[in-house]
Amino acid sequence: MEDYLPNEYDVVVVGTGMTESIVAAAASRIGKKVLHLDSDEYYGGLWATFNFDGLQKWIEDLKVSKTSTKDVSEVDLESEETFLKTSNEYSTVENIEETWYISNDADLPVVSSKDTQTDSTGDGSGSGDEKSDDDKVEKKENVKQWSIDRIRKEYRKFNIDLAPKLLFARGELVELLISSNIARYAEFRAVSRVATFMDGKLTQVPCSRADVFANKTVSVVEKRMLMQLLTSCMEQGADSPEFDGFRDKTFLEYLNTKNLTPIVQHYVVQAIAMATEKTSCRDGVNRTKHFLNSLGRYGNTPFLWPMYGSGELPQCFCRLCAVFGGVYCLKRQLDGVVIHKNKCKAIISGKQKISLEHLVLGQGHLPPEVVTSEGEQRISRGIFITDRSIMQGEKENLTLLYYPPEQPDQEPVTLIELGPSTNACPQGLFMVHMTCKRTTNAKEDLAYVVNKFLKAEPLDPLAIRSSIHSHTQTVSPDKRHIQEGDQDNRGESTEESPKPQVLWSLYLNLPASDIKLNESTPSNLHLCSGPDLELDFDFAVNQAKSIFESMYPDKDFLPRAPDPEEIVLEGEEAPGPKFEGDTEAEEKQDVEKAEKED
Amino acid sequence: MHGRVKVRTTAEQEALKKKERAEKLSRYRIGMSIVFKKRKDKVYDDELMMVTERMVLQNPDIYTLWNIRREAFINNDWDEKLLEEFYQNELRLTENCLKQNPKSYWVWYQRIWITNHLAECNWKKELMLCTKCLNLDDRNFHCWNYREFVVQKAGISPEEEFEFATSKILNNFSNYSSWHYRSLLLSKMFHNSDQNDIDEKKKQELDLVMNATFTDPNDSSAWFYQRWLLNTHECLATLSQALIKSDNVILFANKNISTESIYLKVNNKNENVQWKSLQQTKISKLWFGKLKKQLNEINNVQIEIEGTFYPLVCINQKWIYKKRKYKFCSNKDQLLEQLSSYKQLIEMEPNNKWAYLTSILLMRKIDFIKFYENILTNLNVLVNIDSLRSNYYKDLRSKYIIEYKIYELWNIEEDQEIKTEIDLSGLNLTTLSNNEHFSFFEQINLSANYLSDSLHQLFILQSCTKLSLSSNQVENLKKFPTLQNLEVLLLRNNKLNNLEEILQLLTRHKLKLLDLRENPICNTKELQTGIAQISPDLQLYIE
Repeated sequence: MEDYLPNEYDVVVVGTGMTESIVAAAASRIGKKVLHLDSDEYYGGLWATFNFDGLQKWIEDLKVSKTSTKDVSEVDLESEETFLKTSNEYSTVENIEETWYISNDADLPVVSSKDTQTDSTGDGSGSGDEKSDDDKVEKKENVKQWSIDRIRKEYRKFNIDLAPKLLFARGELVELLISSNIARYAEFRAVSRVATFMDGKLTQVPCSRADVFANKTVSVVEKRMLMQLLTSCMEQGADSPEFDGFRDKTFLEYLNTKNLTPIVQHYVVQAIAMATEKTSCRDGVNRTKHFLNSLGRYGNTPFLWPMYGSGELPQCFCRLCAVFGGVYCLKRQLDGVVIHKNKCKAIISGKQKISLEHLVLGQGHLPPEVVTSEGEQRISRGIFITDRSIMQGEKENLTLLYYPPEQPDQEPVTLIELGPSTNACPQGLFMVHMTCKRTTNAKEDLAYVVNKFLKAEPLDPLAIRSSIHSHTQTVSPDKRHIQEGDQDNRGESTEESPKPQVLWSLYLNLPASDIKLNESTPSNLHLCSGPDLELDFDFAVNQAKSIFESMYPDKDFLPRAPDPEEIVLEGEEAPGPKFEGDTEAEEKQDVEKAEKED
Repeated sequence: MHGRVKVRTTAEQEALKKKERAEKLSRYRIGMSIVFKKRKDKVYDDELMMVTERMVLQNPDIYTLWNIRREAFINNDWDEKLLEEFYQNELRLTENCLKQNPKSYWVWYQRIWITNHLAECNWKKELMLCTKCLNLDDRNFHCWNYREFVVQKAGISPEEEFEFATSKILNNFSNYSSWHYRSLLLSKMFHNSDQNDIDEKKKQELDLVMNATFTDPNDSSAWFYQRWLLNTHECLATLSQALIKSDNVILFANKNISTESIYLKVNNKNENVQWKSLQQTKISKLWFGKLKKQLNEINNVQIEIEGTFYPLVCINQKWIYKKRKYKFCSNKDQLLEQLSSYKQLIEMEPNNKWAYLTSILLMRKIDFIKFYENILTNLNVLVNIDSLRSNYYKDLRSKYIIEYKIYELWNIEEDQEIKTEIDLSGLNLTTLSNNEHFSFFEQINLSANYLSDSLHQLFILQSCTKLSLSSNQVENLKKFPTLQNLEVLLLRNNKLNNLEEILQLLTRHKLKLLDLRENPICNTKELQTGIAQISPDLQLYIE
């Protein structure tokens, strides 16, 4: 039974991806009546974050077609109205390949009698307190092998992103979150290191002043070169006469004139500008500047990672939209749009015809008639649960690695490694995300990087046995790896610390983000793209801004939302919408009151 | 509209704020009047404590309130247990105040006072508070100061604390407080270790700080720490030079010493000498004394400084001791490497004044004599690229030239001789610097320099009998010190025009010869008559 919704809105938004959610919040914020629909039962669409169970369900659901079966004849149309059926073909996820590299519990040798894993771990409530308690238990009793059953059982401790993205500390999204006061809904962790692959091994790139100072790989003179180059990119920008002679040249050609040592050049090209040999000088300088601009605001690198995954962020905007009166309805299918005199007049959803001024559509809900190009920037994704970091450190790290192609037919890969403190995975595990532009399919596109940094072969049961010894020692998970590494060194002579073992992997191909509409598209129909290839959210923020501007050119885009204390409550009968912190406090008071009365 | 958020307008907010401010002010006035009344009546009761507590929480910088609270602690008749409770409460209170204003002098001071009065203070906890506070703001010098106090009380070794300081520096080296704290710790550590350990530690520190200067040469904090490191840290005082002539004794050591550590032994017996320093300071490098014995009564002389004996030798009616060696520098290789790195830095950034200045300090330390010309070249560059400080560099240049000229003099000295004559003419000197060797010279030629602003420094020429200051653009003699032994003074070609000054100078000295040629004053009619009245025997040159 479908909910009945009011029939008239200023703005109807379909899909809860990043761009859609920002537009919905911005419209609601200036007092527009907003309806926000999503055919799924979760927020985010292709931007979503799932726990392990949710992800499995998502994979299952993909096999079932969701395209509307509604026919034109069923729609009640007035004269001069036409009906366009929407399709989800532009959000098709392809080439899904899920692999386990470990066994079920039953196949494992008995490791220890101290099996203290409590049942509550899996289905305990998600509140912070209990989580940390669980963590404590685990640290002490981390004696158990990871098995399929155990990962399934601890499904709540995973937050797996379909489209993991970082935020530049001075990027569009951070500034927007601050200026709109939406930052109060979100939590972040600073990316703790930017890594690069150099001379056959991974090293940390010194990008902040403190890093450069403490770095022992480069000489003092190289330190100066690095700082000098960074400062000049930072202060001058791509339009400076400094770069006049390099308008048509590559960034690499520019750097070659600077007498840099190979190490410094490597740092700048591969880690800071994240450029390839083909990157133009202008792009290279701009990318370097963008990177540097964001340094020194939070933490040691220019990047932030949203706690609990990138999928949290669209929800923050949805929340603001709801606070200002936006109506939300999930699991609600969009069947089609009604066009009248080249304007989008209404949508058809189930039995209802809902009229509107503006229609904002995620790319998974477009009528094929308006699409002129399906886009080319398709995305290959790989997600890996591993047993250790790609680069052992003294503490848990959140790592970003840009890996340039080895062969001409390969694409550069962005690798993000998340540890347990981001809530991406339980203690003792790491989550690795790889993203690149699709050429064939996800598995083939990413293979060269997977082989370089991960051990993606079924775990040898013998190997399990040999490592039991070190697992039973009561050392912290991080140190445990170091010890294992030592052991391996003794056994296999000069081999460096072993590659992370993949326990589970998932490959998938996401659709293109540069889909284009044709010229006859009604001007009040606005397209929101899916996740793009860039590292950050700037594309989505800018798209949302331009959609909002075309809808309401004279209005402020997401002005600062008031804090709870600035909101006047209009008596008890009609309390204004409140922020969560407040509601909780009040509930507490109510409970206390009730107790007193008893 | 129903269901919409209603937000207060700015005007409403302003009005609210204004009202709040007025209320705050009236509360403050009432509070202060209560407090002062009670203080006057010496009523140190709970109400006083409560009112002052509430007020310092609002504004921890009203130090009068803290003073009154301490008065209350001292003057009250609380029993020990209650007092301890109040002290503990004060710890909480100061902590809360610091949360609001972590840079309030009075709150930190109050906390020191309380922890000192506690029967048993949990210093570890105090240390943790400091660490926490420094994690929030690692440049809070109040907290660094407090930490120094706590570390001392908690008995934490400088070595252990050094680790902490290092972690702070690695986090952010642009931090004067942290570098300074480091230098304090090192000084303590050097106190208990032998020269090898000191050298090794300094080597590590020099490398560390060089990393900082290359990462950001525009951050001056690291350069200052480096200068401190490049200074020599002598543990033991040693005698540099001593001279006994007629009944005068002059000696100087490599570092400041007090008279208690100097013993003069004549004929193996301690001689009672009244020592005087130039500025009447308690400690000094340079000391002057009067000997009560005649030279012919003396068979041998020894000077003892901090337990070490230095025998003097007799030559030409004088007893002398001299040490004529530049110090051996233990980490020459490292310094040479650093020097070449800074040369590269200069190539990359030709206007980097710190790189030039540090190169100078390094060269001076490695081999002053060998690098003498390079040092002067660098100083000339500095005068040009850092014109705001050009006078500083000129003074530094003067100092090095004087050192070099004295060294040249040593090369022509006989083994058993201290030269008493020095020619420093025409060297563009702007200052005399405080070179102790000056006190031993009797004939000094300073002509053709720029010393008109440095006349007060002539005070160090205590043995001088003949002095030339010709062609120094001297305009007045107000700051010319009294030199007891001065007999010949050459002031030719200056800008002197004040008769009073010259007459005054003559009354202070027993001059035999004065040269005033080529000065405006020579045209003054009263000059000769005035001088003749004061010093009838003076040989005067005026044309």
